[in-house]
Amino acid sequence: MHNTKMTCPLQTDNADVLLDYCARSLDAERKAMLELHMKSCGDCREMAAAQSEIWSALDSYDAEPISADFDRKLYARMGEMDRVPAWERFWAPVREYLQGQPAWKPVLSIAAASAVLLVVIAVRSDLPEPVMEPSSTIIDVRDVEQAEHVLEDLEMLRQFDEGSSTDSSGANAQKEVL
Amino acid sequence: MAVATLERDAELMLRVRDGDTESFTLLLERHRSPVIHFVYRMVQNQSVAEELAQEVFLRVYRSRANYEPTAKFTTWLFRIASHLALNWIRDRRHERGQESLDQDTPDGLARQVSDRGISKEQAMVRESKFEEIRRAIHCLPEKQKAAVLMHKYEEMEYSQIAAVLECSESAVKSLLFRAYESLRARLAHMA
Repeated sequence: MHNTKMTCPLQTDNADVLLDYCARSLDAERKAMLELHMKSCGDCREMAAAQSEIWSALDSYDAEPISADFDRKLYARMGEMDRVPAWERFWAPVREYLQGQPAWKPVLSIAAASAVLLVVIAVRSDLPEPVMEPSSTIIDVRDVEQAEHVLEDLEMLRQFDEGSSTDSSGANAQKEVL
Repeated sequence: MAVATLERDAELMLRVRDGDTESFTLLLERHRSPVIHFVYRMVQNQSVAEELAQEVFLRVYRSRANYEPTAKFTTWLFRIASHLALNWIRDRRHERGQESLDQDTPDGLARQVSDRGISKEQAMVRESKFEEIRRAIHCLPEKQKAAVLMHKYEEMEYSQIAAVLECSESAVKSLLFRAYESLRARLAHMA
């Protein structure tokens, strides 16, 4: 067990072994291997000494005593929460999350504006579109009217011609009679 | 022991889910101090720490109906706590802009020398040491700070810290290595 050589933790990205050693959380086998390695490695020895100092120094960073009314305040808030309607309880964490995200505020405004725009577009798309006659249809109608006018004109000419020919034949006849 | 803790906490939380408020009291008893102390060391303000810790337990209580013991209870608890603390730090920085540490007035500065049985000189040395450490921790990047506090004071394993901070175990080792490196540099004169 003690014959197994450890590769230098600092040269193999395994510095956590040194952290664990100083935190006294290294298992017995690895502890023995590291101690053996440190006998011949000045860098690891130096780092372990410095880390042990820091580890001990951090012990003096005490926490403050907890307020005597911590539980009372908490239970009061829990009581208030239980009185809140279910839908509000569902919405509250979402609202708190969004309030805690400043970057979401402009996005929300843009999203709201986009939603309004989409609704307007959707409503407008439901309205009946103005019926546009195809331009070819208009041309056709005009053609028919023109054709009718031409036919009427031709009929008038034909009647005029017939009248003229009747008149001329009558005149001729009158001339012949004369 | 870790398995027993998991079972006990999870069991209590399942009882809370079923409407047993007494079990919530037991959970509060077990985790009140670790949560408040962790948040206090993160935000370095006792009243804010207690306010945020209340929010942590309120969120646990609020989520009781959907609780499933899929992860270790303390991982879940500290994930909520670290999120709240980190958000508070970010919001405060956002509000105050780049602040100088000298302008900060954490509770540490207002601590009174109240320890009995030690001389005034000893108390002053202790206070000075406390202040040095507080400043050194304050200067760490937030994730490094959270990792060190969980590693040093909560004695969490790398895997659990990784689960709380939602990163890989190797990332946690890297965070801790850099954090302790900074602390060793800043506090070298205390050695």
